[in-house]
Parts: sequence; structure tokens; C-alpha cells
Amino acid sequence: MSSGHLKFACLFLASVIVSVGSTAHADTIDTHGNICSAFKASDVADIDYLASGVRNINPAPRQVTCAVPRTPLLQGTTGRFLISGSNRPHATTSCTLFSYSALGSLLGSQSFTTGATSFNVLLSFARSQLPQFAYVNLVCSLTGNGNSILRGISAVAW
Amino acid sequence: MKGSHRFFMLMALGGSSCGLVYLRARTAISEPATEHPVEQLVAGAVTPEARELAELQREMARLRVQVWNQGQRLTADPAKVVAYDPATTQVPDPSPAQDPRINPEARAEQERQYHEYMAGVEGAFRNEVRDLQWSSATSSVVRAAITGDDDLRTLARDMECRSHTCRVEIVDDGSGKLDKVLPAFTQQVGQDLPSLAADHVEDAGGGKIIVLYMSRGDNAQATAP
Repeated sequence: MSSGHLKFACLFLASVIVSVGSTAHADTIDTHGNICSAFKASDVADIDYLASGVRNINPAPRQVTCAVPRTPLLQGTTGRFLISGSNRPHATTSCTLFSYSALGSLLGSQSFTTGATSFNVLLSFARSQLPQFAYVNLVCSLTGNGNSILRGISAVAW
Repeated sequence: MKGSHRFFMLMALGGSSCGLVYLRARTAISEPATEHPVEQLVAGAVTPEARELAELQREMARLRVQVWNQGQRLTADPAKVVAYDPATTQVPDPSPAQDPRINPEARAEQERQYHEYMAGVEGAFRNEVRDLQWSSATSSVVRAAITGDDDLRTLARDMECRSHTCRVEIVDDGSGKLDKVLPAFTQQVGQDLPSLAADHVEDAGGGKIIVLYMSRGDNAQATAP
């Protein structure tokens, strides 16, 4: 058994360990828009689901709320979230991303409005607004008649 | 000893050593790195294999940094990337001991840290010099959003805008009304004030008040480290 074989074996093991270790605590979690549901009980019938996301089929704007799965952050890093969707011409999508403490207190939020035909908006929280144990929730207002589609949201690890 | 036995023994030794080094790196990554950790593990018997393992350990550390940096390079906003620094970056500990829902000490610590953060936010707001033009225009936007909602109108109290931030006090009566109207409110003012930090205080009568610090999106937000 040469030292070269030993080195190769160790390097292989180390590579496996590194790759497993690096993904265990820093995965990006992509969540489809179909996780969203009507924010108001009276709007349930207005929210329609597609293979590509969620939309509002009522003529008036409607809000959807979406749980945002995430993994705990490395200390010293920032929580980032990518919200994706599309608008037909003249339609807009407005969203607010909320952070709540594990005990239910509102910590902070980030909002945006866009009329882009296809959008990917990156939002981030200050570290103090997104502690290790916290819940993140997205609420979006979708233009009526199915003119806006929320494709999904990612809790990004980069 | 047969060659195959020797091979498996060396593989087991290598795997165990790599595993030990890996576990040490994950659980105590913030500890200062020793120059020859593996040689310390086999103190008194520094063999060529041990030296090789030490070299491999360093190679593994380099790989960890490379993997991390690879991910960092994918960011859409490189200016805001927080570099991986083994001296300050710690692997999160999701154990119940750190969970504020279970551990009162963890809860107290989390609340202390958040109070400290919000004291910084409030201090930054108090230090803002009033910009009359911005204050007036933005106050109108916030006021319109408040008065446009029947529930919010009854819950809202003081409101003040300075140069980058508006401070709004809202009563949290525990009915759930506030939680229900908050998303529409934040979206209505979101184009002018996209960032929000919330503080929770009590009024003189013991009622719950939520204080919103809403800032414009030019990175001049009242903030604290």
C-alpha cells in the first residue's frame, strides 16, 4: 500500500465530508408558489393554482400568504430571499416579506412592488431581524383576472 | 500482514482521522486553529502518516473555504456578501438548549439582543435631521394608508417622519386586527418605505404598542449592527 493510495483515499473521504458538511447547514430552499393560499378567508375561491404558480382570478386584487421554509443561518451571515413571478402588461405585484420571532413577535419586514413581466426580487433581513429561530412569511397582492403569477420563493444560502 | 488487511486498516485510520478533524471543525470552528492538530492527536509519535494526515487536514480546510466561497460568488449582490471567516462564523446549533420556545435563558438572551438592536434603531431615528420636504410628502403617504383602512385608523397613534425613517405607533389589542391589516399597510407605503423594523412596548396602562420604524430603500435606513 503506497502513501499515494492513502493520500487518495483520504482526499476522497475529505471531499465527501466537505460536500456533505457544506450542504447540511447552508442549503437554498426553493418553494413553489402553490404553497401560498388566500390571506383572507373570503378570498379562497379567487385564488387559482397553475403548474407554474399561483394567481388571482377575481377582477379585484387579492392577497396570498406563503410560508417560507428555511434553514438556520450561519452566524455572521444575512438571510436572503428571492421572490419570483410574472405580470402581464399593466399588472403589478406587491409583496411584503415578514420575519416573526419564534415567540410570535413581529421583527421586521421588507416590501416591493413591481410591474416587470418577469421578476426575481432579492430581499434580505438584518441579522437581528432574523435570528436562528424565527418564522418567515410572504404576503403578496396579485392583480386580478390572473394577470399576475407568483412562481415561488427561495430562501437562499448564498 | 496481507496487503488487503493493511489497506483496510489504513482506510479505517484515515477515515477516522478525517472524521475527527471534520467533527472538530464543525463543532469548534471558531477556535483558533492549531498549527499541527493531527500531530497533537498522536503526540509523542509523529509518524510520516501523521504528517500526511496533517497535510490532508489542511487540504480539507482549504476545500471547505473553497466550497463556501464558490457559493458566495453566485450572489446577485457581491457588495453585500459576508465572507466566510472561520474565526467569526459558527455553525448554527439547533439544539433545544438554544431554542427560546423551550429554554427561558435562550428566550431572555434573544429578547436582550433584540432590545439592544431596537435601541440602536431608535437612536438612529432620533439622530435624523428633519427633511421638511421628504417628511411632509412621506407623512401624507403614511397618513393616507392609515386613514384608508377602518381598522388601522382606530389602532394607529403617533406618527412622525424625519429624513429617512417614519416612526408609527400602533395599538396591538390582541384581536388579530393588526396582523390582518399590516400586510396591506406595508404594501401601500412599501414603495416609499420598503424596510420595516418593529419594536414592542407597553403604554402607561399596560396595553401593548407596536412601534414601526419604516425606512426608505436607499441603504440609509436607521439601523444598528
